Amino acid sequence: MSVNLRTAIGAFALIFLAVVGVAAAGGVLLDTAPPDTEPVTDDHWRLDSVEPETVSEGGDIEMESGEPSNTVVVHLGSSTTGAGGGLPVLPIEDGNAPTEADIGTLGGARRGVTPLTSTLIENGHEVRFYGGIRSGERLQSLLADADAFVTTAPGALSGPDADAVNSFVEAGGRTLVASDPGNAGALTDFGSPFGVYGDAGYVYDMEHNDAGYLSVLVQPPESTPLTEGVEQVVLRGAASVGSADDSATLTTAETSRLSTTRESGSYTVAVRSESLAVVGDSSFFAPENARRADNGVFIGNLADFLVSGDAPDVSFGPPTGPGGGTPPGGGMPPGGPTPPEPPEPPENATA
Amino acid sequence: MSSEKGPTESPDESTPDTDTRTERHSPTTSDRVLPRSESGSVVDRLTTRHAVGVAVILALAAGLFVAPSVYGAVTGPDGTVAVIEIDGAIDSSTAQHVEDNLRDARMNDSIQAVVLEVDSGGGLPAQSERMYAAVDRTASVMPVYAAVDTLGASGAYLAIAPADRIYVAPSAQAVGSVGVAGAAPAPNGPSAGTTGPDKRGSDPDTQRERRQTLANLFIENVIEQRGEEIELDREAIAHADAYLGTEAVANGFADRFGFVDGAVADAATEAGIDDYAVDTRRTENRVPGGIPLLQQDDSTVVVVDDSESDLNDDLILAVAPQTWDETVGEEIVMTSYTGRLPTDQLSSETNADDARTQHDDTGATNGGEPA
Repeated sequence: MSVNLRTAIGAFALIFLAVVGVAAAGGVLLDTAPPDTEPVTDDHWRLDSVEPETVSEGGDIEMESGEPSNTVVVHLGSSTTGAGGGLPVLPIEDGNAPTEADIGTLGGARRGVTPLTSTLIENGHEVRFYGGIRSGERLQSLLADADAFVTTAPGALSGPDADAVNSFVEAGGRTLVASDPGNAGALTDFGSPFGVYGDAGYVYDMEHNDAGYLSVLVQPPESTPLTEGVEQVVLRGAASVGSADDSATLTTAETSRLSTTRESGSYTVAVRSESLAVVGDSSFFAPENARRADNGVFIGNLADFLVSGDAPDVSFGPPTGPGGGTPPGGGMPPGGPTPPEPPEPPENATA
Repeated sequence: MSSEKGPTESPDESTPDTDTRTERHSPTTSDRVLPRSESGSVVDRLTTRHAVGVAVILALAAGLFVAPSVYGAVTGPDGTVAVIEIDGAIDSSTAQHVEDNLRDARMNDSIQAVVLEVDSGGGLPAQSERMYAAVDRTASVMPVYAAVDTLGASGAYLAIAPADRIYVAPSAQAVGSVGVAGAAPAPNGPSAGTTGPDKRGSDPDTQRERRQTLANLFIENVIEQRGEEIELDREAIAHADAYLGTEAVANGFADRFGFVDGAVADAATEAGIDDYAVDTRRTENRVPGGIPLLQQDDSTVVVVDDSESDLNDDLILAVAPQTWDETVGEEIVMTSYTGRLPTDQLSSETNADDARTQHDDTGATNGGEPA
């Protein structure tokens, strides 16, 4: 009995081990590991492959003009921060209207032009800000004593204010208009007496830019007093502008395109007509952009332009209402600009 | 049992012609054997007929046990096509879902092809890259096809770019959109709560450069994977337009018209499996990393899915404009590059309409911003 039982157990174990052994051997022979995957190509992930092209930064903003003190009136609209600056993130945030806060160099409308105003003041000139008709000031009064006028928001000028500036320009008052995209209608309305207009849309360049298609690189087609020493200026968001005499102070590269037509070509983004200079962008004034490429040289040239030459021979009529050249109530007339003021004997403005 | 009990209980004489009886009455049987046989051991009493009977029964049982598997093996599919869904805003859970299932497809011998069922307008760039890498790795060992419904744009397009073939519905509304978007670069003011000037955010120039770097990564990935198929040059790709399905097939952003079923059939054919099963892996509950918020509102329990709370405009996103609102919420608006127009201009200036039109033109490109 015991012999047979041992034999049976032995046979069982033998067969069991044989079966398991065959299974194991078969598994070893037949089993295949998961196929080897190919590594993901990552050469094009390296920084030197994808780093955008940028322009150099540095330099000082200098004026060459030795003019005595001039008064420059600066108008900024209500909330412009300069293209490319976006909405400033203020340390003290007012969630409802952060743009209303103006805390000097930290944010607000005046931040965007500090490189220009600092340069003017540094060179002995006076800067006066005009906050629009709601500020209680009267632009005509300011311009009567001014040598130059700067606006970064021509569309924010009321009809009477625009007329006053027109008269100022006609009288030879140096005026700089930095008109961002979106202000074509206002710029054309304002500049047409001087042969200057704005195109709708914006200019962009997918190939040659400063780390972004909106940051176009513009160059002077020929050297003019405004572009002396300027090889390349960066504009963070430029509108196409034009003039009747087809002159151009700054133009984009041939690779740029106009947003409305998508046609590539060289677009004019800055023109000068006598005492009126127009740039289709206000971003280059911003502190972050003022030393990009030759922006500082360009700003210095613009400052020289503003304080050079004779004082404008301009006068304005008596005020049409308290607090500014507008009817009582402060609202702007929807019907268009008011009739021009009657001519008055010229008076000398501040030299 | 009865067959074993029978010989035990019955006298040997009642079963003539058995081996047991033969052994017992054989004059040649040794004395050592006889006592053992008489002990009544089951083994000793087994007859050949009994053994054969037991073997037959065991064989039948074993056969019946194995038969279904054998039948299934003979008649079952030769392989499986996994259909993996890429749906909604792309975040970590989306990437995990796709990566896990693609890994499973590579490890599982039965899965021999993958079809990505896509309806997404993108999301986070890094998570899109994660899926991109998983798709690329899987496509190196088996056919991986993608089928786009309405949306296969931005981050979702990046994810499927390494696929061997991209099918689109002819009426798909957003295929491509190779670019990133976020708030415009903005300076930061001082904060006594931070230990460094960049702790609250880099300076605008750096923000701009990094955004462009992310866009360039996206563009290079697409060119790496589909540069030969796409008939547009780099500049045109970088315009980041999202194409209709019929346009995408024409310009090479997609390969052919089709839907999931067609893609599955073609993927199976490519993998060489005529008889195939389909294993669909849907996106599961999209509430990653926590419990959904419950709000009691007039006896109504509201389940708030906050799964997309990590997608906001503080991050640079690979999101198609068609899905911007649903990705980051309508209350978050991408800031236009020039900030907003003066409010008094729009409310009072005679050319307000003109300005608004142009601003919209600008704003649309930058994500839009109410003036």
